Amino acid sequence: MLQSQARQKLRESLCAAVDGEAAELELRRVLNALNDDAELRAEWTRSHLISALLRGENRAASGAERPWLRGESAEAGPRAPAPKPTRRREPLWERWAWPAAGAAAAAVAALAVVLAFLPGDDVRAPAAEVAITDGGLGGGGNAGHAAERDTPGLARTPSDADLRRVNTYMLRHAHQSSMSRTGVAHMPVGTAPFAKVLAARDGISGERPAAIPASNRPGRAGPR
Amino acid sequence: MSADTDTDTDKELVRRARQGDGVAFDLLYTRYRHKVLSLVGRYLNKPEDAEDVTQETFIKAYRALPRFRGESAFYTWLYRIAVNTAKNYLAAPHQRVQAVELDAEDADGGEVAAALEDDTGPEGAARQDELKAAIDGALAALPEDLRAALTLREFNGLSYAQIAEVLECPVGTVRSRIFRARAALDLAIRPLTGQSDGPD
Repeated sequence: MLQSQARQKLRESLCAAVDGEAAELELRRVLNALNDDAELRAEWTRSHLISALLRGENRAASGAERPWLRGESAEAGPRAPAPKPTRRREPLWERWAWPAAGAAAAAVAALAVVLAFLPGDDVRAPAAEVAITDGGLGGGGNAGHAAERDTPGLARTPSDADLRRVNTYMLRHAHQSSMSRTGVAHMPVGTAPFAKVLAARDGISGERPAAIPASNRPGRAGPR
Repeated sequence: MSADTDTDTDKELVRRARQGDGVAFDLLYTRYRHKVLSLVGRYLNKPEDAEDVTQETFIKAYRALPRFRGESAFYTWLYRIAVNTAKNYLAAPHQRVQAVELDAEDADGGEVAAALEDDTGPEGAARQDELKAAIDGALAALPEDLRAALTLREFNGLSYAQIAEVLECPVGTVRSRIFRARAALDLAIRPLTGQSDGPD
């Protein structure tokens, strides 16, 4: 019983020594006991293991546990060369798609301007024929041209409403093309200023401009 | 155990180790092995490398101990050795840490080599997970007063006096609670460490 109590006291002293809280004499007594007592040494080891487990220090941190360490060493060590970013090679059609679309938009915008400056029905028909057939817009959702499919290649005379709608569409399309994500590199030369001039002049609503005096009227080819 | 201050325990163990007490150095090893392993693990990518560097750190420390003047805390000194060893390892990764064979003089000094157990690899990881689960379960099952004392000690690093102030109880009570809490956790992990028979 007495021996058991002494043992318990020794273990409590060991616990305090683990925490660095044992008094000087107590510490010496514990360390002397540790010299001869394998079981007490095992308890010392387990006590530190418990601390390590509680604090998460029980194992070497591995790259598998901390993915952000993978591929690079710690800050003090030489860093492994970062893998070169492999740039995805664009397919051929993708490389040409945006410039082609830009050029088409520029052509369409130019055509819209021509239309805007043509006041009479007599000169409107040939231009409208080009504008409302299936070329150059990529075929996607432009209003007003579906009706012409029943007479391919032969354009009917568009109404004023058709022309305004087409004009509005062209202006917006040209403007958006100039502001597209491809940036300046793919922007058709002259598109943006061209569209802006028109927008400023006519308002972005695409309303047909008021009649221009004949003396100020440009040629049929439109502004260059 | 406080890592950032040199405790009386460390000082006494270092003093004894410098006098050739191999057991004292062995106790220092078991005291700081996990900390050093965790530290060098932050420098290295592979756990097995961390284990090697940890071993080399302690071997270097053991050999350099006679030159340790005690101007800094033991752990600070050991920390520097560990960091330098890890840096050297990173600078020349092709030079694997050589399996260190303690010479006769060193081997007489203690049980260091025998204590350099390897917890890396899948089996080691599984064992560590098992231990961690046992510890967590035992901690959760502790009475509130014991858990509070141990938590303030282990997670917050408070001294017994500070814990006594927080918990508004005598230092002796704190000491007793921490001992009982740790004994309960020890009981939980003892079967997993292959040391089922022990003092109760």
